[in-house]
Amino acid sequence: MIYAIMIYTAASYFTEVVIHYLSCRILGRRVPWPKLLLAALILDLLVSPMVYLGAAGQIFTFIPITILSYFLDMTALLFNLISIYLVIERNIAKTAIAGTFAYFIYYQTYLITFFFIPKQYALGSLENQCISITLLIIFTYFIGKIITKIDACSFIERCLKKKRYCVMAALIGFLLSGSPHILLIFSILHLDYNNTLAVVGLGLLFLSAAFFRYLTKNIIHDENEKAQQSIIAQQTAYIQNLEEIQKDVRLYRHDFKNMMSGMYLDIKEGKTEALERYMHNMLDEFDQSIGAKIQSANQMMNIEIIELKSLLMTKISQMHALNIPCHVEVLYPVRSCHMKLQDLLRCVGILTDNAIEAVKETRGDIDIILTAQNHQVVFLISNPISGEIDMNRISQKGYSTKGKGRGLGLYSYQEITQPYQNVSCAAFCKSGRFYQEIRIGGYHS
Amino acid sequence: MIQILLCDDDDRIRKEIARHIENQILIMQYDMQIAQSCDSPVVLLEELRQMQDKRNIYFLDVDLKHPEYDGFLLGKKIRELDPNGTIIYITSFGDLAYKTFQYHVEAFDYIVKDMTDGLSASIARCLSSIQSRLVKEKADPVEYYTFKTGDTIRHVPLKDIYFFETSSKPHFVILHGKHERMEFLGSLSDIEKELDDRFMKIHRSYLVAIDKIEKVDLRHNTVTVGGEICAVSRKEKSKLLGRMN
Repeated sequence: MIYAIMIYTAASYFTEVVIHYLSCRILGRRVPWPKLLLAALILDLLVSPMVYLGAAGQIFTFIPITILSYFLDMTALLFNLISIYLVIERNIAKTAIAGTFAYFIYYQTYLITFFFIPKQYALGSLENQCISITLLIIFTYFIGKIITKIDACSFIERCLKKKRYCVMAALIGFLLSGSPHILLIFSILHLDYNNTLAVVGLGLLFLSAAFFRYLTKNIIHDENEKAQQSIIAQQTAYIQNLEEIQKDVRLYRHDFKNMMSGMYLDIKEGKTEALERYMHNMLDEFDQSIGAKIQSANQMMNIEIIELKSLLMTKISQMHALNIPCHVEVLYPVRSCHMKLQDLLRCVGILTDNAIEAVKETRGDIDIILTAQNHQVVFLISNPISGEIDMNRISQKGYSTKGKGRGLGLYSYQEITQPYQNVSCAAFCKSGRFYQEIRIGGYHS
Repeated sequence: MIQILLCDDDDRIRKEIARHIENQILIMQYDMQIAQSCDSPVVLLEELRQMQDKRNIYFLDVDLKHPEYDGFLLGKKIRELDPNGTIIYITSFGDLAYKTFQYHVEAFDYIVKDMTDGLSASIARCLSSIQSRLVKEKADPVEYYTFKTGDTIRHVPLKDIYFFETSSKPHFVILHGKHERMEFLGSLSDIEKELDDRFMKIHRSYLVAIDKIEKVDLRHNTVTVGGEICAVSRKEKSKLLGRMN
């Protein structure tokens, strides 16, 4: 009995490792191996003796064996989720989705290994467990690769966008993770059939893969539609901008004729000084009325990441509406950026919103400087400030110059940039302006 | 003697600017001279590499027609070789992305070359403000800590630095200063070697300016620097107390 528990516990250790590893993969996180292995070990020592005693120890004889093993596995799953929450991702929704899916994948893979077990299956048999574990590890390795490839991480991110999706995904996860048991409960099949179980596992794995494909396809379709809409909106804004320039040019042309005739008179009369003044004013006026708009349109042309351009366009027109002068500089074409697009957009959004908020009260202008070079992209935004800013508190949760219930922006900005090894942030004050910089390096690590 | 280096691939403009600079030096008796006036960035960089003292003044064309260097890249290269030099850009358009240059290259000023009359005046203005800055620096020298974030060089006055902290991202440190909070690649031990004994590594993740310590909490092994609490390792505690007195 003790011997069997030991074997089972040792075998389960790999189970926990596999589940944690898969969860990491699904979440797209990197957790140091020692931490992961240790967490799995602690969890294993806590859970597996209990599960083994529950399943094979015949303590709860009054419950039918199928329901009992379902119940036990779900308990194990719950503990796994807790550990995943603690070690990998401090987010309940993410943990629930990733953990259950990881568990499901693990379970099916494990069942498939039954194909290769020659004898009747038994939890406490050394031979059985060895075969199972070796195969499990090999399969898991490949499955991990596949998960990274199909970008499960961004799938979860998408699920999180809507509460309904999120709850649905978690529920499906829970259902799937218990699916072989559910089948067993409803049919009157017996646990002993190695091959039956394996076939069931394989079938479910394929089914879920197909389902996943269907789901992501739908979501991708939705997203494409949204992206297209935003492109249309952006282009409309762009055209509006051009039309405005056109209108200004037309107005200007009208004035120009008058000015020219005035200047012509001045020349004739030899009034060079008046002429100079006149021309100077004219140039200034040109810069103010049309020059600035042309300048900003020119600079925006260099942003070749459409979503980023569209975001900045929206923000700039927002500033226009609020009468905030804005100066944009994009020296080199911005083509790519080694950060997930949604994260980049969120960061840029937070920083611009903060600048707008700050300027709303103090009055002033906003500078946006985007420099792409050597695969490095630097986004810099600045606004004038009055008085001092406490640099240390700026990133604390809830810090804001505007009282309570605000200041979550910079906090989540930090949270977003945190996992990126190639991204560095800086904030500083210089000659009366407050600067925020995000620098995205060339290489993903 | 401060050296002036000039680079513009339009011969006419370059000669014009050189003439104006020399006139100004003569009139105002500046301690400066034109060391190099060329049309190729490569020649300028070669000259710069051979110079011993570097705190030069550079006049650079923005729109250099060179396959490797435009004005921005040349400025960056010069910054690497001469972190404390003064860079002024020459441009033919008023709508230069000047703030980008100011930020990434620490450009000091720019002059627009199409207004021939204005050119002389802007060069005079430029040189005189450089001169007054140099005088001010001589009278009251400020020590800077210089580091790189990405490929941008930054200078932070030593007296404005509170402490350095290791970031949660591996190989990154965060500088906490009076006016800034900056993350850059580096290690605390390397920084400690660069700085003098005004700074001390009190913990494996903190390197603090000793004269900026506001409060020492012996019971919890912490110090307060610039309003933030930093841990002190037990090993360094007595050493720190000794250094503070």
